[in-house]
Amino acid sequence: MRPHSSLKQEFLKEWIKGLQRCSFPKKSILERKKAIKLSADIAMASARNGTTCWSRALISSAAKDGSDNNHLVKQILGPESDRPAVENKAPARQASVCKKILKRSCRIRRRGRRKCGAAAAPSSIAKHLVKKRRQILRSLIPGGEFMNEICLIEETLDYITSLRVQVDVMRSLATASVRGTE
Amino acid sequence: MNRALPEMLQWQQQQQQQSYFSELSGVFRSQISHLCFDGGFMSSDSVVTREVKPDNNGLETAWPEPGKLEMGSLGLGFEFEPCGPSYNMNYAISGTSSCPPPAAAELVTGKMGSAVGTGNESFKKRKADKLQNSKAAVEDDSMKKIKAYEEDGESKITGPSNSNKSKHKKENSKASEVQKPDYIHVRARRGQATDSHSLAERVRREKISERMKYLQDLVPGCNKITGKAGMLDEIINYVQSLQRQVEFLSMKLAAVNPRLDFNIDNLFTKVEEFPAVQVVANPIHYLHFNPAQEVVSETALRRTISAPVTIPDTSFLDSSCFAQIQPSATWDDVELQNLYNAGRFH
Repeated sequence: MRPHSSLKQEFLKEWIKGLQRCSFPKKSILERKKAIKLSADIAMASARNGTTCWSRALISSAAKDGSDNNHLVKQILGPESDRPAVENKAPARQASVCKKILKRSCRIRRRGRRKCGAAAAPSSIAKHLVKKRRQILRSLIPGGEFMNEICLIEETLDYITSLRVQVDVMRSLATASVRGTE
Repeated sequence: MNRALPEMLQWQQQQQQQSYFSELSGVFRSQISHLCFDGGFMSSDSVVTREVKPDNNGLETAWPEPGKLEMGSLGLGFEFEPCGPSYNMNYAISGTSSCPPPAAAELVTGKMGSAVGTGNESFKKRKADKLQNSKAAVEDDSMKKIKAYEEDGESKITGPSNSNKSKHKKENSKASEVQKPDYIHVRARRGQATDSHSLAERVRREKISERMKYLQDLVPGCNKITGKAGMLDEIINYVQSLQRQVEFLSMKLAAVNPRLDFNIDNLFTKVEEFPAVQVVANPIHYLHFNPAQEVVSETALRRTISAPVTIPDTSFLDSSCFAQIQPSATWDDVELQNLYNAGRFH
């Protein structure tokens, strides 16, 4: 595991850079919150230097999300990182199409299986439970839909460590700013 | 014949060495051993080839030097196969005797004439004590008798008087050492399948369980849970709680700073005070590797994370993010330090 402190420093640096880039007065608190969260996420992803799947997926999904988000992301990432976001778009679309096709085929197959109506063994029930939870985990981790099981667990490990770092840094910053305002 | 012996031996060794570098090395070597064996015991080809041939691989690994060939062939050519400890030998031979290779038998008959001499001579010269046994066996041609002889020879090997014993054992151990690396990555236990698909599947499962162990160490409160579904549940909960904390903290920051200007003076002071906490935190994480302590400090940390801060906008957030975290005390750096110290000296 990488030492937390260096990761924290890196994350803080990236985050501050991102926050400074998108520092214009916002009207509502929700918008501000959105900007802060997005910048924190992207800083967390870029602190990883794109070595992990989840960080790449996070940045690309944030970049293609919506027009407003896209604008923000561009601001946060800066001009130098424009190109990769555009490049990432095409494969993502392809992948989504492929996924749709796969889902459809799965649905058909499942119907066929249910008609067979075999009694479920306890081991198969356990497998089903694990599969369900794995699906949930996949939805939680950015880019988890396209990972196999081993990759998913590795990415989860990495994601949890960086989430912890993110929470730590954000908390310390929040307390510091609370103290500053008091 | 006695004069021709060194030449014959040389020829044999050459043959041996050639066969080392050829694709059919196993077949050749087994032939040689058969020939020597035939010379000694005058038994039929087919029986001998049946017995020795299937252990080609073993022979390859068992005779790293040509010099040892004589030892093996004159002693107990058929018992020499490295099938582990000596009590396995008979079993191995009887097990392999059921698959006769016809091609090898033909080849043996072709080279019979020249090899009989070598085998016989080496036999007579090198091992006088073996000679009696072999002569006794010469009269018997049938397979049963040969097997009986094998048992006899084996008992002799295990007997105290024979110096062959240690050599055999050495070579056996050597062979087992050579053979082991094939199975060192994936080891099938008793009753497990050995085809490539199930082996790969087993490797995959082992990898997954190893990573799950790491996750178990990382996620607090996951140590006591057995079962994959429960562990995944816990991991999901943890990831969700972390994500909610990020949401909450970003909301808090947005509430605290009406304009998103984190001016640099402020930031520098924050960066300055940030490592101060780190210095306290680091020794616990990286000097004491006891996972229990880690968990203690982590849970303490989580509690301090959720310390209630009165913000007007907390109504936006669902309260479920605090479901598993009890707010314990107000946030304070001193208290954090205390917590860390407590965790260290627990």
